Amino acid sequence: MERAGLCLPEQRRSRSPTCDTSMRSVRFSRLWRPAAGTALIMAAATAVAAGLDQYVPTTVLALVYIGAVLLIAHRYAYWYAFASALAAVALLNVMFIHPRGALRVDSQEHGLGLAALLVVSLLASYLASRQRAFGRAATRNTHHATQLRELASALGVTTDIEQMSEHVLTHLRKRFGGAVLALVDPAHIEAAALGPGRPVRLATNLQILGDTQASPAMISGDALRHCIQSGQSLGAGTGRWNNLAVTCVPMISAAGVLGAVAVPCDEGNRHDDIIEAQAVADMFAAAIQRERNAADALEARAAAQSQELRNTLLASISHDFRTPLASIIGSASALAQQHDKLAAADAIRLASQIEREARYLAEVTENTLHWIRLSNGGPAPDFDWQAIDEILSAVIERERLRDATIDLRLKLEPDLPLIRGDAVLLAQAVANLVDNALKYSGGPIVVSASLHQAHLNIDVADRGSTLPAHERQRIFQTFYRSPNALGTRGAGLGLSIAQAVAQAHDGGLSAMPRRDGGNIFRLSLPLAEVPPVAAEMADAVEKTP
Amino acid sequence: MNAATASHVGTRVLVVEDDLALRTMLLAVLRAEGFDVRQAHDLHTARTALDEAQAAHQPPALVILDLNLPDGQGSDLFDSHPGLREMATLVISARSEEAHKIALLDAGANDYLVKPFGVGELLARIRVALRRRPDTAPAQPAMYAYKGLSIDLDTRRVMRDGELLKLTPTEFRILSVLAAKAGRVVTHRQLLVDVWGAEYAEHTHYLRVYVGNLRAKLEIDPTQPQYLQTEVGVGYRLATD
Repeated sequence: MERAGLCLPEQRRSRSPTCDTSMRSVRFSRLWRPAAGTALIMAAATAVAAGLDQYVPTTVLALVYIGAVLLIAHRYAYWYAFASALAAVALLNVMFIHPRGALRVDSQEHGLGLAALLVVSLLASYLASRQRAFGRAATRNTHHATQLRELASALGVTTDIEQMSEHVLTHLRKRFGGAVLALVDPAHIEAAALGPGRPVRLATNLQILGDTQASPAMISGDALRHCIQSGQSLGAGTGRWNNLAVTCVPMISAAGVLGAVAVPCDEGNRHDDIIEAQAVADMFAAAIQRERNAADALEARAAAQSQELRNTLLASISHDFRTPLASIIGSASALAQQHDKLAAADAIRLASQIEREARYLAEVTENTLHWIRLSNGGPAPDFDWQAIDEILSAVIERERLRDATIDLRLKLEPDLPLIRGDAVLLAQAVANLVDNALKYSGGPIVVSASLHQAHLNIDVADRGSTLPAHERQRIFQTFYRSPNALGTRGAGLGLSIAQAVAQAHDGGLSAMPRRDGGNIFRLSLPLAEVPPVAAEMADAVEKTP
Repeated sequence: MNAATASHVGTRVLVVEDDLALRTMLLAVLRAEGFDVRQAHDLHTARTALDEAQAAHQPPALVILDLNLPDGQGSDLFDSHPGLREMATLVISARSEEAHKIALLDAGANDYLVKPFGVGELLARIRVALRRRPDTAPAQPAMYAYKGLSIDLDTRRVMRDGELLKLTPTEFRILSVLAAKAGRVVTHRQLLVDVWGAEYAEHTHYLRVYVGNLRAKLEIDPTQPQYLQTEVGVGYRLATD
């Protein structure tokens, strides 16, 4: 992608000789090929006529020349046919009509014959040339239409504007031999759309792509800027800035001028070329606008969603915080103000209640922070090699410390490989799954880890009432609380955090019914190739003295 | 409890904590245990308190240090007062300060407490931190014994329930590093550097593999380790009573 660095006209002259020589060689080959062809055909006709001369009347020879002129008119431009018509009359006169060897006729009959030949061959060449032009235009139009259709479908499937630019450039290069695109920075489209009369600062925010350096399409940035600012075509064939070597057409969409396209235009087909360049520019503008609209819609939807999520979070948290806070404040104020009246056992009960409620608050806070961190793209997870058995036993140890009476078992497949992950997040996810199982079933709960097809599955299995299928889907939604959850606490964050953790590890979380009743929550983590661990220098068992 | 209280009577503790409520709680708890408590609410007052104590030749035996202080990080105190490494230090941190906490442990802090914590946890950490205080126990303990597991660092013998365990040299090195700091957390980095060398500081997978092997030999039930405990995301700890 070339940025700016346009060749100004004077730079073009001094720095880029390639452009001029290539144009000169194009012009030369365009000239000599038809000229040589015309000469060859005329020579062949003359040879045929010379061969036939002694067997047929001169009229037949005239037909040979008409044939040659028709052939030339069919193959080459009109003026070659015209020239060959004149040449045919001259050749017939000089070589085959008495007196031979001189451009002169001595009978009225021959003079009329030659005049007829001239008129017929001119008419024939004119008609053949027109036919040829129509045919060529039709072929070209079909070809261009096909190319345009291809471009349209390529733009239709691309969502990336940079890729679109590539498609457009490729198309224009094929069609015009070179092209330059100038795109306005999205933030400045409105300013650009204001049009003439309003000063628009485009100098720094035009993105310019294409053949700015190497081809005849080199163009001054001023022309593109002016084209964008005015929203009108300019350059060769447009009547504005007519002496430019290229034509610039604006890319206009509903939102304003999105940029401009500059192409070198063929002098012969300028009108068609400008129309086609405009078609491509319009198509490109529509595609860009479509993408921007889609992106805007997505953004708007995300904003609405995050707003909704925030509201739910606030509602959920405020409920989840207020209830334990009420109990803490009540118990603590009782201890502070009624300490002399309270029985010792009651005082201890109140104090324990404060501790329990505060610990619950700490847990909710922790989960809320994890949720915010995972959903708002907070600091990246701290990935390292982890032994899942360590994480699982640490989680279970912590659960048992909190409540020694719970029935929690750990089953580990032997020789589980290390996994790549964030230990704190994984521990939080498993703890949430265990807490969830405890909340809805009470126990016994089995936590297990096993290998399955390049994945490490961590299963938390309970014996609670089996979730119906429709709830198994909804249960991972943030703030979703099962109807069974009535009477139990929780912001509905636990499972969605576990799911977010699974996703952060390129894994997944799913719920399935357990055989003989209950549910299994499966956290599935992809395996990675563990780097080798160098063998011990002396792999022997420590020698005891 | 009485015995513990008696052993703490007069032991000097410096509490560096900016939050008034937390400081009030720490002071009340520590005084109830018989400690001689000084307090500081930021780095500046902490430095003054340390300098004064040093001048009076009465350095605190234990410093309880909050990671985040209004005028800087708790770790700055380690830079300005290298003498801190000779004292028992207990870092108080919030969950979100994981990386910083680990860096401080690597820099020489003895142990940490994550907010919120209970009194039981606080006193247990203090007990361990003071037991291994360098100035009162200059010689490395040669013996570790807990719940039927004994490690003799001199003779390199590891026994469980009277049975000699066969460990590889690396396994023994890991165990000896942990035993030398029994009861305290040893970070992954510290273990990797001490056992394999500084160039292995990031090779966490080595540690996972060897600790797994070690647990298989050491623990009665490796899924419920009672000796070699995991501090998720931080390191390992060899349990003590």
